[in-house]
Amino acid sequence: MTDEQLLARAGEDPAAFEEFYRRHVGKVVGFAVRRCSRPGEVPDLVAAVWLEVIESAHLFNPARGRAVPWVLGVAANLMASEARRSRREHEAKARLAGRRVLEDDDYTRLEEEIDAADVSGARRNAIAMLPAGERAVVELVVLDELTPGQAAKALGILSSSARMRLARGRAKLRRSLPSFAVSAPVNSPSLAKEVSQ
Amino acid sequence: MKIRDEDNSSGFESRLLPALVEAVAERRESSEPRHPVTQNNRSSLLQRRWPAVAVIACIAVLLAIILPAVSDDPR
Repeated sequence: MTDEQLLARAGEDPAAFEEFYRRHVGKVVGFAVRRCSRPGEVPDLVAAVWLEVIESAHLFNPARGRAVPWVLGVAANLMASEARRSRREHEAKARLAGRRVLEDDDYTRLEEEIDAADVSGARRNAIAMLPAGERAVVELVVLDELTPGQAAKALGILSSSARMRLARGRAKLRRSLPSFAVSAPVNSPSLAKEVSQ
Repeated sequence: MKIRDEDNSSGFESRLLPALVEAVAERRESSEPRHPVTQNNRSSLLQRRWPAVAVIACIAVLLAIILPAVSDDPR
């Protein structure tokens, strides 16, 4: 079964959800690692994103795009709405109450992944200062390495709008962090390219 | 539990999964109709309320017989 077929059924079919989760949980963890500064925050954000995916899966239309960018779009929209994110994380914590989710090994691994993502506090703050619309596009393109077209589809906006927001966001990042392009993370080659363009 | 990325096979990702699968199952249950439509629910009014229908039909027949007789009274 394709990712798109699985995602279309994931909201109400536990087996389809499980298969889709197994295939793509790593991408959602990567998304969270690039946005969290502490390992303890990662599982709550990952669970919140998946709960949002479960609730929204019936809205996924395979004719309008691929499954993984759609999931990252759901995650980006969740991040853009503080209230929604807070509600989902609260729900995630309630569901995970009484379960020990993070073991010592996970803690060490996530710490290493956060370090490897190398999204420093200054960079994180600079991106956080962007207006929500620009921030969502910049994060998807710069951090998650989607193309501007994929980011547009993921966020449900026109490709031209995504490119415009990306250009504005990059200009603001260049102004606020001149060193941004020089010290781009090794595992995110598009960062230097996107910011220096 | 086997996750495609071997690094995650025993990681926190595996421990999140049961809670998320529960959420999907709950969502499915809540979207199912609470009172499933059965053949009985779809039976006609005549089948479900035949005594009342029979009484109403009898009254209608009696009225049809009595009313013309009363109105044609030559007094």
